[in-house]
Amino acid sequence: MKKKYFDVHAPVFWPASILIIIFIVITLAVGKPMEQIFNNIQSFITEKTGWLFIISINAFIVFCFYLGFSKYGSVKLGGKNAETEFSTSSWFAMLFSAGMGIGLLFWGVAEPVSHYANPPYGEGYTIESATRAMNLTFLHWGFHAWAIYAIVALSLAFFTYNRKLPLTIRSVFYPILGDRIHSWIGDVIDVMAVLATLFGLATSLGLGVKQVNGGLSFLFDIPNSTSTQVLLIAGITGIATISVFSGIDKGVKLLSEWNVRIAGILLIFILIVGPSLFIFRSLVQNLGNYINEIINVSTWTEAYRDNGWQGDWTIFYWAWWVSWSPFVGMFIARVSRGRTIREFIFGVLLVPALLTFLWLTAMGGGAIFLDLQNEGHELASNIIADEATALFVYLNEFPFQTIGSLVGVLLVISFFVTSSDSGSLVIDSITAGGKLDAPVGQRIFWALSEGGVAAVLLVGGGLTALQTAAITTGLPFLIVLLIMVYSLHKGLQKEYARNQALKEELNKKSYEKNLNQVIQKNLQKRQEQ
Amino acid sequence: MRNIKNIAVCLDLTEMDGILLTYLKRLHDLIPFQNLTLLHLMELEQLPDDISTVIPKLGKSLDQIIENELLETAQEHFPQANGPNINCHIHTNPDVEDFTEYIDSQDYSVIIYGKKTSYMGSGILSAKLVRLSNCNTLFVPEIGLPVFENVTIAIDFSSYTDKIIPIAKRFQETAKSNIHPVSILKIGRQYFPYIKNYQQISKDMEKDTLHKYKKLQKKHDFNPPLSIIKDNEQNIGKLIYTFAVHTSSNLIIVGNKGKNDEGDLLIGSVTEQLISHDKNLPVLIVKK
Repeated sequence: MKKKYFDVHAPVFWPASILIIIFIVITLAVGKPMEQIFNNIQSFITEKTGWLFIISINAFIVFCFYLGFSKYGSVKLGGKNAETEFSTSSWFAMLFSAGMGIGLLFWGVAEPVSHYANPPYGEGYTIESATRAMNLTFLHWGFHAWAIYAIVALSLAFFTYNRKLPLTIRSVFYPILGDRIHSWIGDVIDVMAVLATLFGLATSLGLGVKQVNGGLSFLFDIPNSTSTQVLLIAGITGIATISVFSGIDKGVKLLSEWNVRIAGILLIFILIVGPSLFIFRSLVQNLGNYINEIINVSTWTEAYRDNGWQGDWTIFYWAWWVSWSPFVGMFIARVSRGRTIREFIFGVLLVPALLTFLWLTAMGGGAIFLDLQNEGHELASNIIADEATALFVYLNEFPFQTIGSLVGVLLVISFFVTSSDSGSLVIDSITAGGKLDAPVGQRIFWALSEGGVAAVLLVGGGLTALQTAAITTGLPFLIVLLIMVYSLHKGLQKEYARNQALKEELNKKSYEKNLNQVIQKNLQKRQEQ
Repeated sequence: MRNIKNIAVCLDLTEMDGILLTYLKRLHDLIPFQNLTLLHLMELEQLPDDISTVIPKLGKSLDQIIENELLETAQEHFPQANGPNINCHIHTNPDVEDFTEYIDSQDYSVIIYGKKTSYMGSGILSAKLVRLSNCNTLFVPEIGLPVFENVTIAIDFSSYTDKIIPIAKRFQETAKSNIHPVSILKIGRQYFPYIKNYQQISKDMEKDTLHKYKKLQKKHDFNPPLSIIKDNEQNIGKLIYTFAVHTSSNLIIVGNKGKNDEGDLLIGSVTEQLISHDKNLPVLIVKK
């Protein structure tokens, strides 16, 4: 049977695949000059639409808090009788592992140190720049990022569980489009979601593979080059394919559980052998700074002093999170059945963010601390020389360097595999019209195309290409997200009104009386017979 | 509702059932329909002891007993051969939401509920269903007369108006009803304290409304003239109701929601006023 290997929703699958293939072919055909093109696209989008990203992401966080505190907070995902599938603690663990694992490994050390050495304004290598560095890093990885995920995840969960629509992005637009979500508009939305997810994933995978390469060259002197990276992508995608083939319940679940555990061990290791006291003290201070400065920092748009810093960092992150959001959102939606909206918002917004802060303080904060002790700032320069090796340079400061770095490399690889796996699962489910049990063949196809796109992006322009990919697909999807907010609000209004209407108890006493009369009448009739 | 095939009626084993079936009989004489479904929701999860001990003696399950009872009552009202096909659905799950889902999954042109004014506390179920269900709903109060000579329709130029007019035409053609379209104009005078020429604005708005109505008439080939009521004091529901009483209407047709009703209302404020306890005219709420 044909359906055994391919069971796709054609109007989504084919446009998405063809667009991706066109992209790959053009990038390969143009070759080196493509780097300049990527550069131009990136600076165009960040310059012209950066403000839109900034205001929208802030709007998302305001909307999240509004939902959490409003009367809609009591609405339960899955209806009032739904029960939770996972215990609260394992729910938190899954939220955390879904979000940004691979990104945190890559940027955890590199980003704070980079801001510390090259601040957006003011002088580098100072205490001020160190404080600001942590503040900006918290901004990029904190509540704002999780607000984006929360909105997508909440919308998906609400329309899937409470409205019983298929688990695809188009379902979220039901209150606006009605049954037209099944028409071409829905297809367009889903194609956008597929592209955003794929390029968002490719960005993460590209970063991951750069880091694996960095780690390997650090450990075994393997050349740090694009061709090695492409080979690595091929190899790791191969592993991912095997894991996809073996079934999502086994390979991916096992790997993602161990990912979190190993990452936890690495974190504890740093906490013990690193500047422990400093880490805890600065965590408290960084948190305070972050909360105190959050409005200032999150609405800063370089309006009066534009030196292009924000485009490379804040806008890139916002776009990256937006393009990741269908992927993470779908995952979070799946594990969040039975939570109330209030529980959901604060669970998704606060807990993963707090853990991320601890990680960032231990990694980047620790590195800054070590560097501040030295006059020459050798450590910082070594770290920012190549983002991909930042983690290993930092681990080198501590005992058991080789083991530490080896663990680091393995961790990146296994995060890579899980991201690729679960990413293909999500894309597969969107292109199959919301089915969850689509054939394995398709999933392999998507795993391969993710690897392909990541490789092509690396060949066509390295890190800039990766960032451009995330930003260009993030922009259209940002608009989708804004409409999603409106749609979700509308849906919740109706749900709440329905719950209110259902609240009043029926008058059971009078019903009982009527029923009794009927029974008595029947009884009489029977006795007469 | 243009081609009436299926009509459902919600029965609850009270005297109201007789009133509703009489109403339906009269409706069927004027506007015949093919199928009539008797709906009943068993509101109890657990039966009280005095009932559950008796049931085994009757040799039938409770839902069978209820079904027989309802069908019997219905047959009394539709004795002749040319009546509708009557069937019965007893919903054994007491969950109202589940019942609503069942109703929406069926293809009823209209569903009929009784509205009891005499004893408070009853009618909670129909009040819930009219909000939750997507089906066109006819509310019949205890003293509502099955007379369709004059029918009032509320025109507010929302998307529902386009659905109301074909239904009104159906009454016009088959039941020979006189249709009385009415539109309420509210000009918030307090908003324009500096505009001296208040009369002019009011005239302009009236002209505008008539113009819009003409377009509607053309679109639907619909001839009854529109009455416009201007009043800023009373609420719209009250005005429509009074208008219906003055035109001797025994039925009011309204849309589910007006133009300005907010997203968190399940039925509009005017509709809400028309089906409230103190109103005694049958109301047809058009939802789809």
